[in-house]
Amino acid sequence: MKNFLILFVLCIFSIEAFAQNKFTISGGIKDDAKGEEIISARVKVKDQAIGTNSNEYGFFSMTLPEGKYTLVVSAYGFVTQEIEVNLNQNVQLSVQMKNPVEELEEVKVTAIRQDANVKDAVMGVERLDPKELSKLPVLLGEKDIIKTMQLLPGVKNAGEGSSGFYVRGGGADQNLILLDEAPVYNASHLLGFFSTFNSDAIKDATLYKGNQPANFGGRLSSVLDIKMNEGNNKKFNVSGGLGLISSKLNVEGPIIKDKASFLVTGRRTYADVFLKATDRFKDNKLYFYDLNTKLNYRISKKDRIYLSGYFGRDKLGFGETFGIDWGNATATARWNRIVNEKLFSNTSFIFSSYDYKISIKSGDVDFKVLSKIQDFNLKQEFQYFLNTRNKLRFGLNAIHHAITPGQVEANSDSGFSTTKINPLKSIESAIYITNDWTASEKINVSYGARLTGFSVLGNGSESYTFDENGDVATTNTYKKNQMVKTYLIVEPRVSASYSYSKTASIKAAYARNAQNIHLLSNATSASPTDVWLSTTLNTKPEIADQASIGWFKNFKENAYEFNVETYYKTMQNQIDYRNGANTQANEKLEGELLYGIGRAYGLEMILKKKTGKLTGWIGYTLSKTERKINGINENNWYVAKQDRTHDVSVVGIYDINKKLSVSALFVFYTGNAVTFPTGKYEVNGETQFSYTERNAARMPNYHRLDLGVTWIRKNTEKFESSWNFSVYNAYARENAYQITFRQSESDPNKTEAVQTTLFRIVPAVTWNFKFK
Amino acid sequence: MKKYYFILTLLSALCLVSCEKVIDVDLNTSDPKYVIEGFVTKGETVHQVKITRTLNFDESVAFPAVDNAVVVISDNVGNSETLTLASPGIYKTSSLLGVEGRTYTITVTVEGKVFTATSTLPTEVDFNGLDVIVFPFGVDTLRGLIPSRVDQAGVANYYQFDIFQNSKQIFGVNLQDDQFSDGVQNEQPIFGPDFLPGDTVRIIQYCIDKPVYKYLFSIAANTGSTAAPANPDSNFGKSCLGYFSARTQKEQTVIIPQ
Repeated sequence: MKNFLILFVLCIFSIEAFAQNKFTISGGIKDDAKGEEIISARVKVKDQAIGTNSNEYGFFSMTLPEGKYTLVVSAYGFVTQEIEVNLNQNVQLSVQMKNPVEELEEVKVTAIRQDANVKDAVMGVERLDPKELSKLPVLLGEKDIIKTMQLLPGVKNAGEGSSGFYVRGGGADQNLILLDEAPVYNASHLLGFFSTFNSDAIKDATLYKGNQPANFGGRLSSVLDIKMNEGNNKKFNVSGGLGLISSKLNVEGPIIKDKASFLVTGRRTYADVFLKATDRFKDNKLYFYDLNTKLNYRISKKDRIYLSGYFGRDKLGFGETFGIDWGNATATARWNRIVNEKLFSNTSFIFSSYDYKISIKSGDVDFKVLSKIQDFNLKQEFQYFLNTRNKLRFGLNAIHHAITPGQVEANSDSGFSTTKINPLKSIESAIYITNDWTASEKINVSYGARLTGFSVLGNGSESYTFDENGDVATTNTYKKNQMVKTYLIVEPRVSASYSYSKTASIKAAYARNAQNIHLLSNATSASPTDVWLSTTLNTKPEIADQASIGWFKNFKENAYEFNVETYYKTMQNQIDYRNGANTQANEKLEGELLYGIGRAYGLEMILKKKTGKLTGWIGYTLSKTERKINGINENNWYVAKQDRTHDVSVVGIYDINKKLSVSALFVFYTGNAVTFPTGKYEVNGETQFSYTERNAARMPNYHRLDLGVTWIRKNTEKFESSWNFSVYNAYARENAYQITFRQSESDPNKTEAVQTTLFRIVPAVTWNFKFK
Repeated sequence: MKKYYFILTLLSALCLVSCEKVIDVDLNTSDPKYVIEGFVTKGETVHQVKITRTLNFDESVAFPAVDNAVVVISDNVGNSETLTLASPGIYKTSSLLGVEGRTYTITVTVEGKVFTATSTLPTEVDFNGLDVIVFPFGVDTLRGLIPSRVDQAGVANYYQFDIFQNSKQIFGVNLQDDQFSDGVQNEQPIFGPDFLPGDTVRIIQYCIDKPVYKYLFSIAANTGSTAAPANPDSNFGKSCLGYFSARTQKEQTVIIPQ
């Protein structure tokens, strides 16, 4: 740690030794039409290798020696601008980026800094722009940013049609999913078929595959950082879409022109409308809805406030008898302040919660199971634009977690006694510092560290420790909010790039990540009733160390991009259930857990074509993921369920003309690792199956082709209307969703394997409109 | 509305709703293992132990019986009896009494291998009747049976049931415990596949010990879609399959009313 600090200080100050008269250019970069801030716009000094990017609030700052400069400002999808600056004092700029009007301008539009993949120090990063993806075919026509992300190397879906994902061998809970900084605990709707992110409300999504900078923390495998649109502050507009299973509406506009704006986006599915049409299921409920809202207000030139909220809920039920509903709610209040031309501050107060409720009601029985996780989170971050070579980011973060793992509420006639499990409480705090250092024209380094402290708090109830058989070893009662134990973890992060030519670089990175909130999942696919557990005396923080190297090369004036990365990751304190664990409302749940280690390694390749009529990519991943947990598989290494040897995806979009485009998507991957029986025997008069090694068998290989057509029917000053047609699984491949084994009905001595296929061909159509 | 019907029909036709088919899977094989299933019942002197062997998945024959084993059951107060072979694979005692609170040990010696397990015969919780409850479930009606009993307070109790509908046994593992109902009148129902008015339903309740409950719970979990099925933790350990249960037994019969 000490050496690290010395290095840190040296890097920053050695370069400043020959300082001369210097001034700072700072300001904001905005979309001229909507007034929204542009993230990661590039500001560069013409004909020099000096430049910077706008931050997540569109702010940039660059300190240069006195003189006359031409700045080149570029951003994806906007016309590149040149700005003359006479730098003899600090200069403030407000850059308005314009959308291309004529086709001629497309040349300029694409001439943005498309070599970012080569030059930037960070690796294992994927940025998705929802606009780029709107033309891809999707299941049931429901655009979904997570499903598109699953087509990138290193990211695997959690099953057919699922919006759950695994990154580089990590578990589904090892992804930190942030919506305007607020963690979303369960990012899926309708048992996983749709994600909670309504793509109409999303401005930007960035995925870090394990080598995230030190300002992110709390999960082992990845960070998916999603930012909501801010709302047009120039003009009021309404847009929406009608689809087969859901409809959406988006309303945004200025409250005070150029100063304050709002956005409200809602979505609701209507699968239950179909159910109502049938006699048999007319009392059944099956739907979800979500609502995104955002307000922002520019109080002064230097201060700005954002309020954003998300609320989503799924409801499933059979009449009054049985119901289950679950959902997330998040709220973020942020205050941006430009302290001075070099220092940018952001203060956030974040609320985040996820809960589910199962209710059973019949006659005089009224029975409920409730589970909830609730966070209050305070973040303070500073970004200090020290000079053209160093950009510092430092801050602190404190989260109060309260987790109720499953509580039973029952009326007195039900024959069940109400169990009150006091919530598990804890405080997760962190301080971090990270620096983006341009060491030379060829070398970029991003380095930093995060210190995480996790304090287990007493909750006034009995807390247990367990022996190796899972039986209670000791029982203690800690007072409410008493500090029971604090775990401290230092997480160093470093990544560097060496651009040995203008279009090629080699990068290397190392990161340690810690995780203190764990999801316990028993079923094949994630279920809304999976239990969240925080680190306790028994369950130690999960820790992952990941090292990766890669080669990044662009061809044909950055039109093609080719990236290869390899990684090796080790994981500590991984968790799994014992056989036959009782997972529901069990106050001694931790006695049902086993702990162990994991490792994952792989090779990821992607070839992208980013410009021209045909765009898209080909991705390939070769990987292995294993776990070794005491008490499972005779304590030997076994492949994890998310292990997938080969994973190929091909994505193409072809713009036939301005109004019509076609798209295709093909995926192929090795079947999931599963445990199949290796024998059978008879117990209780019935055939049972015997098993030897865990996950030693494979599901059949999976492949699928999807096709899509987007047709813009009308596009005038005031109104836009478009149609989207898609076919999921176009050649009707019967992919195995599940294989189960059973005793044959016709011959009790015979056993058979049964394959379940979920989707054969699924066509869909969506109509989108926009009043401008 | 017509349009919705059309879409619904279209979607079902395209198999949006999942479909199933029997397939061929090339499964690994494993060496045959012994399977021991033994019981000691309260108040009885004739207790039965069944010994068979495992088969590979694709073998379509009856499970082979093991007839050359030496089986001994003893209790913790000094009684012991060697079982005799009554029929292929079935061994029986004649004089060992099952008593509440006693711990029984089974020792099976076969072809040079020794397998042992122990089980404690729990205190009996009286099973004094069956109540029928009717559950509306959409347009269907589910009928459940509530075994009437008052749970023993302050102790963890575990129950297992065998169900016979019109003299035909309904297979599947049926378990209850008192995690949420310690010391109270039971209200947890048992659902058969289709109890219909007029059916005669006979239910046997066994009070079992915790390791047996956990074993049967795991057997039941394996039949669902668990991520990683495994051989249940048996009181025999890992050397063979099956389990040994000392238990109480009582049955009740009911005719499902209209």
